[in-house]
Amino acid sequence: MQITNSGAIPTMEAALAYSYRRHEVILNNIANVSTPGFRGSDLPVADFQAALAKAARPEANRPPTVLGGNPGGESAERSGMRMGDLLTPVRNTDLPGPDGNNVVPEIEAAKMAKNAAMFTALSQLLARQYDLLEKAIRERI
Amino acid sequence: MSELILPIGPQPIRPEGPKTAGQTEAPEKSFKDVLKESIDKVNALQKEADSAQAALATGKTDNVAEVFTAVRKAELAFETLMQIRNKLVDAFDEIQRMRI
Amino acid sequence: MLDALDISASALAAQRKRTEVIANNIANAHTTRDAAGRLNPYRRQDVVFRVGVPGKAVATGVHVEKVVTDPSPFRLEHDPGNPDANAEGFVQMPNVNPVVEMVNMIDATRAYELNVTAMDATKGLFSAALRILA
Repeated sequence: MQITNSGAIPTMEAALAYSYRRHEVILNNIANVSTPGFRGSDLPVADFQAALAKAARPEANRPPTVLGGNPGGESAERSGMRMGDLLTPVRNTDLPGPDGNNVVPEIEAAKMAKNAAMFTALSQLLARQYDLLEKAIRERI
Repeated sequence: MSELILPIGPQPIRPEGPKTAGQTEAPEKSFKDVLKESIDKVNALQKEADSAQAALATGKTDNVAEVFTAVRKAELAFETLMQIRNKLVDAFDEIQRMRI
Repeated sequence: MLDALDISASALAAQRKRTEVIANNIANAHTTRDAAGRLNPYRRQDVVFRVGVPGKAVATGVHVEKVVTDPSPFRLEHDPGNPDANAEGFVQMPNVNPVVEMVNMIDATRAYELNVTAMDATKGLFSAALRILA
């Protein structure tokens, strides 16, 4: 359905899904904050954002629609990013404490808060975009 | 006199006056022009909102306030356009219903 | 998506178990006799945490694999008048150091609270995502 692939919707959806996967990884770090020998992980955020920026290139030769945006833009899944690599947690190589655990609770808590704020902002924005589409569809002709 | 008539049909033939820096007559913006300007403005604002949102999603900015403002502006412009269209449609219906 | 809550719940359960064991150590810091009344000083216990949850293949969450006994030697207190004293006048006291137990207790409490915050964050994400529908 072309209309839901317009503008920033696909980009935001991809970032939203990624943000959720990252939440789960950070959550696991926090759950294992006192497990001996445990090494924390994270998702490669910078790599993901770079890949997403590339995939979100607007197609310059398409005329704008009333809602503007990018009707021919690729959604994240079709852009050929190696999603598998970007979703694989990367082990944290920080120095462990005496029990072999290298999770720093304050850092994980901060990461979680920031990631959650991003998730909330993106889902609000997406909700808005969908509302706008719905309005455009429903307004009486 | 020409300022008072909305040129819906072909333009009246006028002798060419001396060319000055600006228009000597008041510029005639047809309603059609106003409408087109509004549509272009809505397009432009929506494009801005889209790139602001994409920038947030790809981590190029973390200024959520800026992004939200751009989105809201675009939304308001769109809703204004909607209202204009609705009024136009109502006016057209009214004219249709007029018994001549 | 709801697995996230399970991960946090497993951490809460593990930290709670740890707290119980620590509390038991503190309570028995001076226990020299067992349930049958025999001279058998209390031995400090500890929990062994391990990644994952039994029954789930994915290595997320945490659980208490086992409760182990601390093999370090008993403390000797010189108290010749004590009925539990040995021939040299020393009493074997449990190998529990209250300071160590308190530090561990604080650590367990903080970890518990951190996971409660994390669980709340997860619930917040669900609410935010719900707005896409409504």
